[in-house]
Amino acid sequence: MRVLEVVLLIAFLSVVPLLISFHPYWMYVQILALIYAFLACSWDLLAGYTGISTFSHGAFFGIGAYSSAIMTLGGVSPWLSLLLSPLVCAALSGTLALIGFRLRGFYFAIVTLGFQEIVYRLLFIWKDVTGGPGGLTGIPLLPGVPDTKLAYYYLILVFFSVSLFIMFGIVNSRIGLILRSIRDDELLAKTRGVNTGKYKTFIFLISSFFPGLAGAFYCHYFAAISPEIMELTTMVTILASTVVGGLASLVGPAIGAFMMLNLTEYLRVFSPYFRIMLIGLSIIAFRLFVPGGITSQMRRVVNHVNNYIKKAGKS
Amino acid sequence: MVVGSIFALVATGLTMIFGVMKTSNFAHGQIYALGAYLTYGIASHFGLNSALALALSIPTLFALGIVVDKVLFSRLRRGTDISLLDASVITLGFAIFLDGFMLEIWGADYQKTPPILEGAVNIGPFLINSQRLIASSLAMAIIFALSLFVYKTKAGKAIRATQQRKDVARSLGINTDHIYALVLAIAFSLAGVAGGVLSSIYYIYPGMGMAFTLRAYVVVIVGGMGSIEGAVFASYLISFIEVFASIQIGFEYQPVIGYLIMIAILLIRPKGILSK
Repeated sequence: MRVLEVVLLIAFLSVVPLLISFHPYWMYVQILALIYAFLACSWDLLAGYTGISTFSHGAFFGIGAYSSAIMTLGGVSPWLSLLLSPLVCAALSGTLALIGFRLRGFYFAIVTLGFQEIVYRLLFIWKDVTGGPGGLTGIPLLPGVPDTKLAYYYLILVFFSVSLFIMFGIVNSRIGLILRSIRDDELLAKTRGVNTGKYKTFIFLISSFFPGLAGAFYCHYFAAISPEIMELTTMVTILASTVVGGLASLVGPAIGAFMMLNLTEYLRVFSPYFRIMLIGLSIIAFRLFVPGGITSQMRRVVNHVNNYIKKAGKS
Repeated sequence: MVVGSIFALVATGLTMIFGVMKTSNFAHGQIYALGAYLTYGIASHFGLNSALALALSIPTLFALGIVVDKVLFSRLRRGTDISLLDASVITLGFAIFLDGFMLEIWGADYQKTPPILEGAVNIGPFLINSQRLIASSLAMAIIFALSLFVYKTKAGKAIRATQQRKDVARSLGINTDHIYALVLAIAFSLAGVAGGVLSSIYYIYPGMGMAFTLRAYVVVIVGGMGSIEGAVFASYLISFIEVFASIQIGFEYQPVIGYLIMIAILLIRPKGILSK
């Protein structure tokens, strides 16, 4: 059932370019949506499945982008840096976890927000390396990939599908069960002999690997980055995608990202700032009125239809 | 000194929210920014004196506090305390909503409210800008009034009772829902005063909210969550350390120092420096 959802989602995403008839601007939006789907799904591993409130995913996205950009500008092959910069993120997240998981949940949330702010400030302080407010330009594209939006779309879709199946594997394994037990009652999990710190650190490392990959891809696609990508809006868009799509549903955040990015882009014509308000409003509205997100509603409809068919079959 | 006093106001509100409501508010800096913009907006749009504009913007924020508690927080409470994930997600959503709202209405430019009093005063050997003097003394007066309110009045007693044992307070006939709304309204007003006063000293811009939220959390954590005295003490302490350290290691590092102090305090004394 759940694996069917993942397959359906990927099938849908692979025909999206046909639906928008390869319109160049909207293709760009779809690539961005896939990048956010990456971020939101990996955030869901932490927030939805393990119940950790962490707000450093925007920072890891930025670190992935910046470290890959700096490496390739220094002469490293883009394909190699695409692999290395997620590892940089994982290493940094290990440090953060080492400090953070000594603390209770609330303080951990603050430390991750502080981490994001420190990294953001450092971009302006270490001007020589990061280019300061102007950012970095002239980042090499991925060699061997045709410089078309379609090629990049399918490339990130392949990355995303593989990552989604990895996440699916984690969530449905014994580890996934342990993670959910930590979310539901950490103390109980501890008394049953689970080393909760170890599993939390593990999932934190894994889940910061993906934003690093998304960030590296982002910088090699746009060929230019600026500190803007690490602003609060990035993190809140991840939150919005996850909450709108549905926490702890894995496919939900991807659906949410797809909807949020397209909707806010569509609304951009009315006013540049209205979309920021809409992101905030959609988080509040969905959390209050549709706590399970869109996915829960879709599952309900499917269940209804299923039951109806079963009843019709019996009579 | 000025920043320390004003920060004491923002941090006191935040620590009250945490202490009494047992929830986090990541939109607190945005409320501060909203206070600044309301004062600026009323002063510039109607051509009013800044003091009058400030006096008008505070009741607005007080009302906003009540509305936010009744519309957002009370729905999430459902008998228990709000879960951390809910509180953070909702208030971050609210924060970005306010960011967008302020950008939409007042634009992205830097602004400044005209000062309440022009000129400067001589105090002993120091020449002090009168606006800064007003800001500091107003902040101290408000904190004094607030501690009188919390420790001497009946409503203050009810707030402290709710902070200590919500269920017992309820059984004694205290309407804790009203207490929560009151606390949020007071906290919003405090942040609003701070924003309104600082808007005539420093330039204001719509994106400043989040940095202030985090700085306020730094102060609150260093002072000890839920402790008003700790928050006041820590806000002066952090301002001094920041100024001192930025002279020592370079001005550009100033924004980072606070977070490093916070992380250090969390690792050494997680309950704050004034804890026993």
